[in-house]
Amino acid sequence: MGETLPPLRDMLFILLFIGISTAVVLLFLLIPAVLTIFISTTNMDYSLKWQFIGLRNYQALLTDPLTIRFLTNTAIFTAGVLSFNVLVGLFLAILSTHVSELLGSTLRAVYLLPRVTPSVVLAFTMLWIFSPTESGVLNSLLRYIGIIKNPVAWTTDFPWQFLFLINGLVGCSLGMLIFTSAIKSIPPDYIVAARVDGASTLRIIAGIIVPMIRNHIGFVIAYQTLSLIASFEYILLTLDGGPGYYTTEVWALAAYHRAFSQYFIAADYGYAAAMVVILMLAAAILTITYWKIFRLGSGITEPKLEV
Amino acid sequence: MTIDVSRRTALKLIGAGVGGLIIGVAAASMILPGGQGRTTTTVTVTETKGVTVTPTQATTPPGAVQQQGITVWAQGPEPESHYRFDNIVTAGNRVSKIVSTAGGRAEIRIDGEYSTAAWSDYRTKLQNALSAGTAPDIFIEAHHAVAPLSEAGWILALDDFVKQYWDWGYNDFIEGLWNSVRYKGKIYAIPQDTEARPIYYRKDLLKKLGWSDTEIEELPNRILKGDFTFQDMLETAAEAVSKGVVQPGYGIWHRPNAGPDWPIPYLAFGGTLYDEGKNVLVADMKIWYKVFEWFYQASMRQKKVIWDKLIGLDFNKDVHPTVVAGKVLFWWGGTWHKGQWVGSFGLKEEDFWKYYGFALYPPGSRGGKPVTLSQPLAYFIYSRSRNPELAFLLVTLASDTYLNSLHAVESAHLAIRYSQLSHPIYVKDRFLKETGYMVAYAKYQPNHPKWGTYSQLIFETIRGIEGGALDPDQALNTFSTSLQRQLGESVVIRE
Repeated sequence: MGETLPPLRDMLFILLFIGISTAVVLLFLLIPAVLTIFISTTNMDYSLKWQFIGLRNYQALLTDPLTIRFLTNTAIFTAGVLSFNVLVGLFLAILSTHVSELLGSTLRAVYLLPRVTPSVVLAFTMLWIFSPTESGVLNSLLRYIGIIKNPVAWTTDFPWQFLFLINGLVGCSLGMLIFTSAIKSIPPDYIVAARVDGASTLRIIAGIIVPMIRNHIGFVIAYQTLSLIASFEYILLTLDGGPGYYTTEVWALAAYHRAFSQYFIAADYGYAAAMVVILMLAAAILTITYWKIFRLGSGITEPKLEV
Repeated sequence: MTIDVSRRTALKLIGAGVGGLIIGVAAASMILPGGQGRTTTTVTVTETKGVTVTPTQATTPPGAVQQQGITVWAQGPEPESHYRFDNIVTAGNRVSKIVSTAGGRAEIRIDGEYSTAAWSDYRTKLQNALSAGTAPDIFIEAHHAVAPLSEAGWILALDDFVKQYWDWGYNDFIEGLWNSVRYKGKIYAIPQDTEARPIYYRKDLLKKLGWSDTEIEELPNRILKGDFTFQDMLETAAEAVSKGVVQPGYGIWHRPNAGPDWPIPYLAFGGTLYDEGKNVLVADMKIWYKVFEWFYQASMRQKKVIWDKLIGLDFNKDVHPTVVAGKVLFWWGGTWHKGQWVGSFGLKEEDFWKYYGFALYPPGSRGGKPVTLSQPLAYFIYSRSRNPELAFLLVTLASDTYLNSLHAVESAHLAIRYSQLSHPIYVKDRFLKETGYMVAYAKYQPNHPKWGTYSQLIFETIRGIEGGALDPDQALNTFSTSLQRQLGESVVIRE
């Protein structure tokens, strides 16, 4: 593209080029976000009438005793699934790059399956496997082998662990893929030099591989935290915030319930919108924090070396 | 990494992208059949020349067919209640038969569906359609929907039609039912059925507890006389748990989700929900405190009568099978559950009568009156229907004695017309006969646009008590604060 063109044509061309994607972002991301902020200042219900009440929804959020519970649940959920995602993703990446290529890629393909399975199918399958009744897959298997006598109430006694597992199975594949490609792009000289010095495989992993991919680990942590604080799909499909009184109800799920799952047309769109606005603020703060901590800005500059 | 493209190539790519999008959408809309997921009944009849056409219809040349499409959405969720939809289809067929025999040509097309989805899913779909302007001409909803739906302008007032067609059968409707479909003095729906919500009890478990056969048979009468109270029900269930007749938490089971039943204990303790004169909801805090205290006593923290993980279970996968298997002493249910148990859950008719008794909810205090709740369902006519009078007439014909009795008997709902009470197929049904008396003690949910919110708050509070998170004082506090915040002037709180 060496020709020099008049600025107007330039601008029109650029506009057309990015116009389509800008339109999508504007229409489906920006405008709904602005609308949500406005709705959070109303007490809109099923009738969709705009009745402004100022910051009353936010006041109510601060005094509602359930707010703390939702915050705690979200923190537990995010921390638990994040740990699973990063640690298991790392483990799988390291494992699959230290075995033969065929075995390694097969392993990665298998662990991609939960992510590509439709969420409803995965949720129902997991509920069936971990069903607390005697007809559940795990219960009947364990009883058949003779390890347990009575059915174990997996989902009702271990709700958090169950959620960590199902969300983790889906989420770990992202880390696994990113870490795998990162590990593969480590210059082999480092590894060779360490081997020559007599380092064991574990020493190499801990001393060379993990430190060299720390930017990628930082990115995955940042990306998945933001994704997890707003994630509620699998919780909704399996435990729906239960068992019992909001045991596993996270912030995003509470907002969803407030808006769409009330009995008989009672919908509290205003309050739910306020909850969502708080979530957006938290996401913004987290983004800035992670950007600073992991110095993600430095990770996207041009490499100073030809590789 | 950047790929250098010439400006021309870039423009070609963008053009190809947009063009592809347009072609894709066009192709998809041609492949998809119009009106998917509908059951269609088409009736065609022949017309001879010279038949007078009413002024509102366009004159059609001889040989052409006049189409009148009516869409109906009916809800179960249980399959046994399919007559809610089928009766409208039958009505359409009957009209066509008469017209064809008289030599006319008219095509009445009934579209729509019978939904077996959960109420919350059906309501989401219905509400979206109502606000988007694509709702069906006729739809089923609970009677108290008259309030919010009319306030939103989505349904027609039917007083004029009812008066005009009074002799077509409306003179036979049970008097009290009209109150359930009235809001601000106008009729907004036609009752389709009604029911009662009894407490069921397992006779074999009471026997194991040491009750004699006579005592078991006498229980409904003792409740009628006010001799067996809400507290007695709790004590009986607690005894069953402590003696090991039932597992802890399996003394009393109720619905695992939000629904119409939650105000019943409050009504049993003498509370009022609605001031019709002022059109406000009412919350009597002294009585609510008694209710919350009762649930606290029943919870797993105290007498271990109601399981703390009950709410959140699945109705069909977990709750009904457990109740049918006889693991629960008291079940707070509805008359149609008997129909479901026999129809879909493998309970034999003889076994139902052998193992289950049923009665009204006992009063809160000795000597008081027992209660139950009825939630009549009704047919509503969409305000934007293109032919509301035809829709209304189809509903009229679908509500005849025989057709409605078919529904009542198969699904175990109760009669809406006086003539049903002596109709051969209705009286033959032992269960309908033995539960008929309950309607006289029935209370109704208020026809108020904010009732849904009030009901949801009752459910959430009791859920908190059962889940071990709230004690009676905290429950009262949370309940009162939430009522005031979410209902504002729509509720009157009496301390």
